[in-house]
Amino acid sequence: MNASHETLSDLTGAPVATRGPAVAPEGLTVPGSRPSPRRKAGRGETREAVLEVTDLRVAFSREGRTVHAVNGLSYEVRAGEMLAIIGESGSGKSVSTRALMGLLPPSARVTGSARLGDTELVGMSEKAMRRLRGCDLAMVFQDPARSLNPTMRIGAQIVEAIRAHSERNGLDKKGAQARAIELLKLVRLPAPERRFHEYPHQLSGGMRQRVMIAIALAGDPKVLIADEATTALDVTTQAQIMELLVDLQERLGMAVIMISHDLGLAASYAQEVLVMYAGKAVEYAETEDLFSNVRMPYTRALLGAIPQLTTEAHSLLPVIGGQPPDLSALPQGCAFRPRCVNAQDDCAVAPTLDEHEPGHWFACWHPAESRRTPAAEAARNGSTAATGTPAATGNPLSKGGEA
Amino acid sequence: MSVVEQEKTGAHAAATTEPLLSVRNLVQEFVSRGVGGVKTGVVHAVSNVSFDLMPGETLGIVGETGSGKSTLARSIIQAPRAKSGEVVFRGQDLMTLSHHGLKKARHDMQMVYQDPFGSLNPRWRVEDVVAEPLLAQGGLSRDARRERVHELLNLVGLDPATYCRRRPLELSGGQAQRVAIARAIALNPALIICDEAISSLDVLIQAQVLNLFEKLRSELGLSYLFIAHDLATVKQVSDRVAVMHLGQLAEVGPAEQLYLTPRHPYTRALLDSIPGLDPETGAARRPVPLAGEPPSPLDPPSGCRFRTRCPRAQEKCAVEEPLLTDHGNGHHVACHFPLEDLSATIPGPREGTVGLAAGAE
Repeated sequence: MNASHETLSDLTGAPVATRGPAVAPEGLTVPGSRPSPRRKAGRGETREAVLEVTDLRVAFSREGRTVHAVNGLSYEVRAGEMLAIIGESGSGKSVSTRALMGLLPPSARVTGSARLGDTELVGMSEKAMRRLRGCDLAMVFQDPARSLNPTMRIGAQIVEAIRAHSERNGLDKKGAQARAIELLKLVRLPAPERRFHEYPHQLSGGMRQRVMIAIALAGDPKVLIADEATTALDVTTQAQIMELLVDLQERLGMAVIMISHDLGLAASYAQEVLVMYAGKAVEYAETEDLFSNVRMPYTRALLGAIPQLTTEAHSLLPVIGGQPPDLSALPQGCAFRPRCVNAQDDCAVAPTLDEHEPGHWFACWHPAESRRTPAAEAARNGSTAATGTPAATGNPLSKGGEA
Repeated sequence: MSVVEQEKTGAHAAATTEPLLSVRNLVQEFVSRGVGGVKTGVVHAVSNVSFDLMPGETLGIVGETGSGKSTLARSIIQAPRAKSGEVVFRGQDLMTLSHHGLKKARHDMQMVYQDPFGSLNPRWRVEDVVAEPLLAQGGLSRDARRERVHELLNLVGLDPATYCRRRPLELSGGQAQRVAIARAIALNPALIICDEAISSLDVLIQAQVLNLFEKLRSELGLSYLFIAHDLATVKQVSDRVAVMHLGQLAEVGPAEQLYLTPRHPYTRALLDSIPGLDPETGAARRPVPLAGEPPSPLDPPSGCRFRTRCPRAQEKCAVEEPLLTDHGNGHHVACHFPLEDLSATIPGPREGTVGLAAGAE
């Protein structure tokens, strides 16, 4: 597939950082400005960030209209950890990761910086990107039925992915086949030797997604992007695939970026969560810090709209009106202002993503009240002691103790 | 299979009223054909399903992909006709109705589908889409139709002045689904069948549409069959919930009771698979995955169809098919070894795989 003569270690090794298109133009990255929900003391050492994204912007121009899909996104992902990027359709979560992989159409204008180790991804030549894509940076898409070639046996599709990186792994056809079966075992596909010779239509949705993950793992990626990888699956299969991803992330020391609209999923599996709205990060923190103390009104609204197993029949969910903004005509100031319950006049000036509490970043002038203040903590401790800590029972259906 | 009796405790149904919809021993099968039209097997899509729906009641139907919930919905509206069984809607058995009679009966039962863009003609304007059922029924003048269309659009929360002249592609997903709902309620139906009607929407829009369904139910006295793949989404709208597994009903019961004390291991597994998040404390509930793949409806396992994935399966389950039996209070379960009724005891940690992991690490 790839007619390159250079070895891949050249690409990812330190000397490559000085090579032409793979390096960011000077001045685009602002050192120290990238938000990071830093690990706190006493929770083990901070792992190294493998991917650092700084002020990423993506705009599409068509017929004189410019759609600002991503507007200054910064984050980092560490090896062996999972970052969940949460947002509605059109919030820019998929576009931002596709920009990293160079998968956007030519009409897209990508600026900012994204460093994978020493390699700058933004502005990289297509030739260099082809060697990197699927190797250091791999992606699993939403619909496994559409991502696999229906006319090829699944074994051949995995072998193709392995052979595409043959200059790196040095595997011949035989070796690639053995490696493919190994990968199918790794993703726990039942009867891998038999499945190797089957076509995608013979597999269930969950099994197809396992094959997609096997293909993504073919190049030993440092960063795996799972773009709504479980959205098309049943809840039971979703849980299986998520367990598999977490297991692989820990065993292989991969960084995983999980793109999802499901807050429950993010809270269950990710170490860090970033909430996007209109192409910007609006809240960014470690999972527990974020969900136990949601500050940004948009995240609050998302949280409130989740159907709960404890919702009374025929009750109304708290909803916010309106639609996400038109990305070609963003409102002045905070993009969430027209739908926000806390909006005031000063929201006409866009708030920046700042670290308001240790490790908790959000962009809002009028955030919801913090639960980290001493008074709130005391009140909460008092009330949970009285009701017998309903959260600790783990039963979603026990409403306090009224059953 | 035992017939599901009238609910004594149905939230809205009085004990004396007739069911609006009564489904008895419904069977739908499809012949699967290979190259050259050779019969390769029979897909048992719906096998012997029986239930009642009372006027004003909402029954949630939940199951995985391939459990036959959409086929069940289509078999009810006779598109296509089921293989055998009875579908009694307002005292008429739809299975025996002529084409013409069926057309009339369908005025009172409408469907809302998953993909609004797939179910709205992209070249039609919103007003034409909503007016079509009125036109098909006849009897209304052009002005009366327009007035009714405006009324319907207002009802579903779309401003007629803004949206009447738009075409589906000029709408967002949530708006398009509202148009589909306006079309469904145009002829004042008694029953609306929602086939994954909110599954493709974003969470905030999903909440808006769920609230709209709830508003229409209380204002128009609608009954719903609310089909979804996820137990969480049907909780808010359902009086009763039916859990389908591979073409059969595994468990039917009052929603509150079924969620609090599921008796079928499959229902328990579905509940455990939902990633939970407490909006108050922010505590996450990590799903407990159910091992294995759903069996093929082409060749369902003998006896209980869930036994290949069931942690409680024993020899009896392979031999004898469990029947849907009443466990009291309208709670029906098809299982030889149902889970304990926890409402009788103090809620505590459950045994083995059915426990819930508290919080993420």
